[in-house]
Amino acid sequence: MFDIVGVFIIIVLITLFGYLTTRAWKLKNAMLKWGGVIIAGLLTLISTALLVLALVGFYKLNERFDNPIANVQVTGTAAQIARGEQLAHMCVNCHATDSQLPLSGTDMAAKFPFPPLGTLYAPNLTPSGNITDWTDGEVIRAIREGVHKNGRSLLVMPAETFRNLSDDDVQALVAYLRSQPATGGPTPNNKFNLLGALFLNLSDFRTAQQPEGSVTAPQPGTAEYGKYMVDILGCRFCHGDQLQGKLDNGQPGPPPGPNLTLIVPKWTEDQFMTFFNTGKLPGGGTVPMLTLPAGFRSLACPGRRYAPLPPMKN
Amino acid sequence: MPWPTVRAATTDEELMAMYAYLHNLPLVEGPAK
Repeated sequence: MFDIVGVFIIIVLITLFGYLTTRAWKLKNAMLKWGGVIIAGLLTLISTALLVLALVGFYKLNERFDNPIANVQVTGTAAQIARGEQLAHMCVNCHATDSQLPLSGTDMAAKFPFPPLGTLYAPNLTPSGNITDWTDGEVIRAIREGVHKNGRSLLVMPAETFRNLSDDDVQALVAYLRSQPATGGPTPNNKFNLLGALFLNLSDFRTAQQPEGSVTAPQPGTAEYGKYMVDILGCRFCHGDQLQGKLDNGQPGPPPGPNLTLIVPKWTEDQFMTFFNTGKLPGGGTVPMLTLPAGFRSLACPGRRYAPLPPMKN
Repeated sequence: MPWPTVRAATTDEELMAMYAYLHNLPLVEGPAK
């Protein structure tokens, strides 16, 4: 992945500004000389810095990860497919244009107001899409570790959340992906331009991580299982690491959510269920149906950095 | 994740388990407005 045209243009600009700097240096008029040297010199330095940042960004884009691939063959039982279909709703915001199953892929730039960073698709995950020739182990690695079949990092993929999926759940998800109706064809490969590479270097979208062993979900129906669901649903993206809430302070990152440790303890179970069934709050009012996918604002706002993830625990 | 997505991705039993977890969380001071 390399934007040869963009890099060529910026090299031409560096050469031009460098030439103008030397020309200005030879001027006899002191004001023109120093004005020209400062302006053209600054432009030369800025262009050079942009080139270096972009080249490092392209290096990151092409970096390969050798996370091991599990030797797993998903059976695809009816129960797995049903469970996987339920979980696949976590993927619709990015992998479905109409935010409905099946996961036939999305042109992210068309669905969301992206800056012009290049070609960015959430791939078609149906049997006629992009993962047809992937092994089940490769798909599981992509979901939980954010690593493409070719070893590159899957940009924007919220693997830091999905790495919490249990072995059973991630296999159910794969079973569902394989069972979807073939819809459309493979989406184009993602290709970042010079601006995309620059942004990538200012942010860190590497999601590739090395998990330690498998994950087992807690006993269903328990509070521990509730925590498991909170973790795989990515609630902490918007509500904070301790679910203490976030404020919209203009900083890059996911949309801010309220303090759940303050709100939910005051709700009854019925109120909680009513909220998720209708969007209606116990005190009146409703919560709008946000459609912003996790990670999106971080791409649009390149200042955000993902912190390295801690080792995964069983 | 938007609440309709959470609803679609969970069963009633899972939502109730989430409630059991969230309802018993100790208060953590959030960011001041």
